[in-house]
Amino acid sequence: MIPDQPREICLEALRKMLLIRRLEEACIIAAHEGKVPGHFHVYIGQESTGVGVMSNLEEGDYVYSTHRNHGHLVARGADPKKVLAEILTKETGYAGGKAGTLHGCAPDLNFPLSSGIVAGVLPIATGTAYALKQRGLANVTTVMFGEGALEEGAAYEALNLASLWKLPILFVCENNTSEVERVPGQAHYHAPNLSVPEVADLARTLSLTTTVVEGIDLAAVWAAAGAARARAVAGEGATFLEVQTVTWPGGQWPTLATGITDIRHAWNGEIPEEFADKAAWFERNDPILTNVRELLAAGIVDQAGIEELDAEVRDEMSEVARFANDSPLPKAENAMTNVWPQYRA
Amino acid sequence: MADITFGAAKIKAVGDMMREDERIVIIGGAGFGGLEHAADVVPLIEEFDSRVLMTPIAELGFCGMGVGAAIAGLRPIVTIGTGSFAFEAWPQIVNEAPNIHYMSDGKVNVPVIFHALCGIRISGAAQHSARPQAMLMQAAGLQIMAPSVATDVAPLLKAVIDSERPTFWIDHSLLFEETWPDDAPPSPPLGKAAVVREGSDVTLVGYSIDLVRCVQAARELAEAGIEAEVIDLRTLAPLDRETILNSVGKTGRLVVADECFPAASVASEVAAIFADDGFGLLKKPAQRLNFPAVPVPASPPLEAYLIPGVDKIVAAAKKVVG
Repeated sequence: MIPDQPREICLEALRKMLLIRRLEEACIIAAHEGKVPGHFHVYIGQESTGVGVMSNLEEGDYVYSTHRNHGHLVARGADPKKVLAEILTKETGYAGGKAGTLHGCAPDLNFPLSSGIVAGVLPIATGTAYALKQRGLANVTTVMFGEGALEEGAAYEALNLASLWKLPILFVCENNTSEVERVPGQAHYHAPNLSVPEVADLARTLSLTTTVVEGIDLAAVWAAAGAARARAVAGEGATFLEVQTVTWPGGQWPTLATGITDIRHAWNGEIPEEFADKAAWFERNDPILTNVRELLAAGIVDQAGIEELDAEVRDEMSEVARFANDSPLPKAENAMTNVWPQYRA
Repeated sequence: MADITFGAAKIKAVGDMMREDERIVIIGGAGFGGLEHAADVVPLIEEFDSRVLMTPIAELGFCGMGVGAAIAGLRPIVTIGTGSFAFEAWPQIVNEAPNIHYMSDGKVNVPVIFHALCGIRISGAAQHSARPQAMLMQAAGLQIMAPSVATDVAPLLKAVIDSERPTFWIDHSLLFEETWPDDAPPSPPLGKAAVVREGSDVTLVGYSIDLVRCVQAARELAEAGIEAEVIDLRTLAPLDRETILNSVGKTGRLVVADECFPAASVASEVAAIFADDGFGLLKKPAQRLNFPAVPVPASPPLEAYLIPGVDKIVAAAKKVVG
């Protein structure tokens, strides 16, 4: 559904989701050209989660993420040029090529870290929430992670500590457990490696306030995150928000298959032949196409308006890709800098 | 001239720093003294009640919290308790905290201090006697403190906090009762070793409890007419190679005492300095005194047999001087 927000904010949310999609597509194109060293994880199909959650956050709030951080960075407002440049390990990236895709950060936006260990960031985010509370700040920490994080013990300790001390934190679990197309509302989102029937059961057992929403529903994600943030700053403690997403079913790098999403799919229903077997995902599970259909149906924007917005985003991304591709790799001797802060007694 | 115990100096230093700097909080219920000296820490915990977070038995969780709290403006001292428990939090201590500054290319500081009582503490047995420092030296970006002198604690603690580097602070259970004159010479800066006794015949290198043993060994050696120079490493990362090289340049003989297991230990690293940069300085082979590569037994005579104690340091020194 469409968030209960003014037209401009709804269109800005769509623009951000498109920006994420186009950035991931640019990343995949660069990878096929051999420009992305190592492997990487894209956010296609989960854009509504990052945008729905981050749209609620204030400047002083903190965000942490995992290996699947590209979309979270863009949703938080990071400069796409510096994001893509970092993915390509260029000198102009947020971390000068030292972080790459796995450890994306935007410290100027209180996005200090993405950990490459699936649950590694949960205790850290919990500590940041403790610091915010201890310092008397009306801010929250948001930590984005997948359901795989709940297979590690660190997640359990972090959830327990945050619940015990009513810390101002949003645990946003993006459940993308299955790569098969599913029908929203009818799927059973259990995780095959977890013994609980539902992922959120783990949080409920630890007395956390728990909300479960479908990622396809931007309005639901938006409202749930907004309510969770309000609770946190009111001193009512942590929230576990499970967002049931259906990530792009085209596999993982290096067997990742994708094209350039044609925004006109939203109204003409034409699926490229190579993706005919994934037609259901385009019809039901793509949060961007879904959002476009809803905006059109509500009369908030017309087809021409959508095409114009998409063209603007694609133009911006062309510039982003040109910047990232043209940026130099870091100087080799930079490898020795910033190991720890300089200090002289 | 009054004497002060290491434990009293430690508790005073933390209290003074907390009065001076509101950002400092204590995370972890273990205090600084272990079970033996828990009562000594109680006044500190009472005074700073709202800045002491007594935690569940969740080392991985609360060490990670220390990292996140440090990122968001606090200066946490995370008390892990026994050094062996650091292994429960290893992912946060070695794989998160030391990497974050570098992974952000210097934009994010992680000024957390992890504190633990490490070492052979009498019947701690195999799972409460760990000396994690040698393994921690493999974590690039992690600063490691291991002082042994009471008057060193306050200046080192202040320097660590000012440095804003993620730091592991090694203390030793048996160090708390050790006394030092409180008018000892001023501490050298962070990262410099200290020459705590001058001598010309042999260089004894130690840190933490091993330094105390080296000082005792030097006294016994003096009675036998051997003048040992004793070097306190104080910090293991950074490691002050220069002071060690200068001393051995004078004595030509090196004995290193280190409770770590022998392979890739602190003693190995000190000895390796001479393979790299001091090849011609040694007149006799370097003597590395480690805890042998066996798990730590519970029974005191078994434990004592394995510790690089005073008698072994004296014997090693006599061997290379004689």
